[in-house]
Amino acid sequence: MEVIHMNSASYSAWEWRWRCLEALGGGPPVLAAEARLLADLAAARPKNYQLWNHRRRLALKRGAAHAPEELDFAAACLGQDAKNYHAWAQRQAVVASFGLWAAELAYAEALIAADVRNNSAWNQRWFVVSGAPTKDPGAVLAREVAFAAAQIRRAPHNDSAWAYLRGLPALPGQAAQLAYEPGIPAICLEVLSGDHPSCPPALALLADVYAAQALAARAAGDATASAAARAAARRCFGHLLVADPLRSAYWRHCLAQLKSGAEEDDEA
Amino acid sequence: MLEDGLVTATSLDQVALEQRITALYADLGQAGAPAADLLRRQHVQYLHSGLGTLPNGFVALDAGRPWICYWIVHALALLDAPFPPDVMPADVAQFLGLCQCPGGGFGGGPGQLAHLAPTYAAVAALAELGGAAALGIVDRAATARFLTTRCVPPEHGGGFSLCEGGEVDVRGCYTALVVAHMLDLDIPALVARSGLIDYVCRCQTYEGGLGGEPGNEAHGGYTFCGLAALVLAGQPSALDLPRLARWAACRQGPMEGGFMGRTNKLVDGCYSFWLGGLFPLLAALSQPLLASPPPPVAASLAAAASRCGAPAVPALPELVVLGPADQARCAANRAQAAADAAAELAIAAAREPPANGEAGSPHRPRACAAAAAAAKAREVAARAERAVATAQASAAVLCAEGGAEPGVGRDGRGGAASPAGYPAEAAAVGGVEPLYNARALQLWLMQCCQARKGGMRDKPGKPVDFYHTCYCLSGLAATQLAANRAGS
Repeated sequence: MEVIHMNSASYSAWEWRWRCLEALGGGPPVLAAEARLLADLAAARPKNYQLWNHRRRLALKRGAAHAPEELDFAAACLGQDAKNYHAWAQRQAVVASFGLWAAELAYAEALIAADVRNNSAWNQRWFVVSGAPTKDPGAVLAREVAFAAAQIRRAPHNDSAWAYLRGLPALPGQAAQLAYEPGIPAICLEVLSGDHPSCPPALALLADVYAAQALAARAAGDATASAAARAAARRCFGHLLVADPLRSAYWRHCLAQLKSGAEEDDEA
Repeated sequence: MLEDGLVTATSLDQVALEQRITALYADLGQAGAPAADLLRRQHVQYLHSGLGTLPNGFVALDAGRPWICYWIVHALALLDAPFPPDVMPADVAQFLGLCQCPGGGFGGGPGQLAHLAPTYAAVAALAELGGAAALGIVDRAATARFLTTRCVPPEHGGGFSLCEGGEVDVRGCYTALVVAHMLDLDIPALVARSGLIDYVCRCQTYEGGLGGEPGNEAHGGYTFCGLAALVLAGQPSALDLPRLARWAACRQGPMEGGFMGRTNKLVDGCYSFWLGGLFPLLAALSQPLLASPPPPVAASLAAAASRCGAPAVPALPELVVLGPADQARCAANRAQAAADAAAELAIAAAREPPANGEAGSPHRPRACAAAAAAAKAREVAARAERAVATAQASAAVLCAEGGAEPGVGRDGRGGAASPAGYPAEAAAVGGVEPLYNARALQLWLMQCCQARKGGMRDKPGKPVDFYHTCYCLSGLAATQLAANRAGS
């Protein structure tokens, strides 16, 4: 323990300690004492890989009965730094191992309410929504689109909420919803037609929607709708050259991609 | 940033950083301001101080001493600078040799367990030192055995564990494969044994970047490790590359020019390499791989189209779109109007006679609430006004906003003579324009990450260290290489 106190990144000492725990039989009193000790250490070293790895092994070995204690431990660390990468990863391991999905959705939602720009909390919401078993994926998608839209209204320039909304069609089986879910373009147009006609993430997502709609319309044999959607996508990317000039190289790349899609249209 | 009148922990940090850089960029925007130069002599002096005996504070890095060697050796190589007179490259090689474990791989120091991260650092440093003496230190066969034992079989989740009993994350995938690459070991065997392709793909998130483990938040360091590992494995297209490119391009801070490691985190000089380094990898890939959407999404769209017909395409209204500085101006005007309205309400509430049941002035709840709302609105308006200054200072140096042609500076001089003297447009491998703003990244590194005394740092206000010096210089080198290719 002396070595770990002096240098908590000494992974050799941590591994040796784990073997000692196992040699001691790894019974509940030993593991509980270890958990208390780690709580003290983590307070001083919240970003130490070895400590969190040790804690993860301990949590999974102690089992479901101690899961609330583990989640409280990680929550205490997140109380100090709401974006602590290791603490979120620890929660994911515990939640997935013991199936504690519903409570984790509430936890992530509370942290989003506290700071709507906390991207780690958004990622945790995604982790729960994509990992929890569901009988009705379509309803989940609709619920999440509504949630993201409500958060976007609180702070229309928040990249975390937009990234989440843009990511929802990546849920299993939902890829086509980028073109077909009306709630996605609706919030983009609401923001752009309101006080924020230059909002870059709204323009970018709307451009993606139009580009996906152009492809779908072409697949459906509707050349007029395809051309209209492609023209709208082009206008959005063009707006981004003005609204977001630092990333103009990337937006020009997007425009070039649309152009090559249009050539395929001509060939068809 | 545009704070939308909602102050949170994230926006407090971001605005505080923007205040620091506003001053630095406003100086640079002054007519005739000299281009920021790379303080080569000072950086070399700082790096030399790290070779030989390190100060006491480095005990926390005792488990990563090969890292210190790598950071300094690599940074000196990037600066094309020699070792200090009292340290021979052979001394460094000899020290790294002491960290090699009998069973293969390198530990964080003499006598420590073998671990993939110091193994990467040691092998990379030895390769950089070069020569038979340095390269001969590595026991290739033993290293190959070590890499093989680090593979986690696919049925147990796949990937690589960093050391015995250690964590499994995408750093393991990259360090194992790049060591195998440098030593010309059997990469396909490692890829198969660790289920590497599937493991790395499971680390890609809905945002497009990769997390350290499947499910974790997209992060610049892990994204570099994952993409580079798949490039080494010859299968980068297993990832959704268009989504990765979008995420990476959007991590360049529009006010700062530097890269942030995660969405809504502060920019940090080290991501100049971890994120900036993604673009040369993307540029070297065949361009159709970056065409959006990737084949599975296109297939889903086609299937939905045959089922549901063409989607309803909403009309795009006419939009009056503004640049960043004008956007900030409009937001500040709106915030000021809201503050004025709140102030009038507060005055009116204060003049109202007390309602039934209300205590007398000055403790009437309605008047107090209105006064508090007015004070808050005033603060929001003041913050929005400061954001205008930031956007103006950044726009003047980071991008030629307001109709100027790209590559033409504020003073009308073109190309290499743009405001800070860096080429504005950079083309990459094969003449393809890189997907990020190379000039803005160089400005950030030169103006915000260099310490005058030498060494480079996370951001203004932070101390320098060897890690940031290495990765700021690595990012600078990569971005200048791209710029030079454009000129040639």
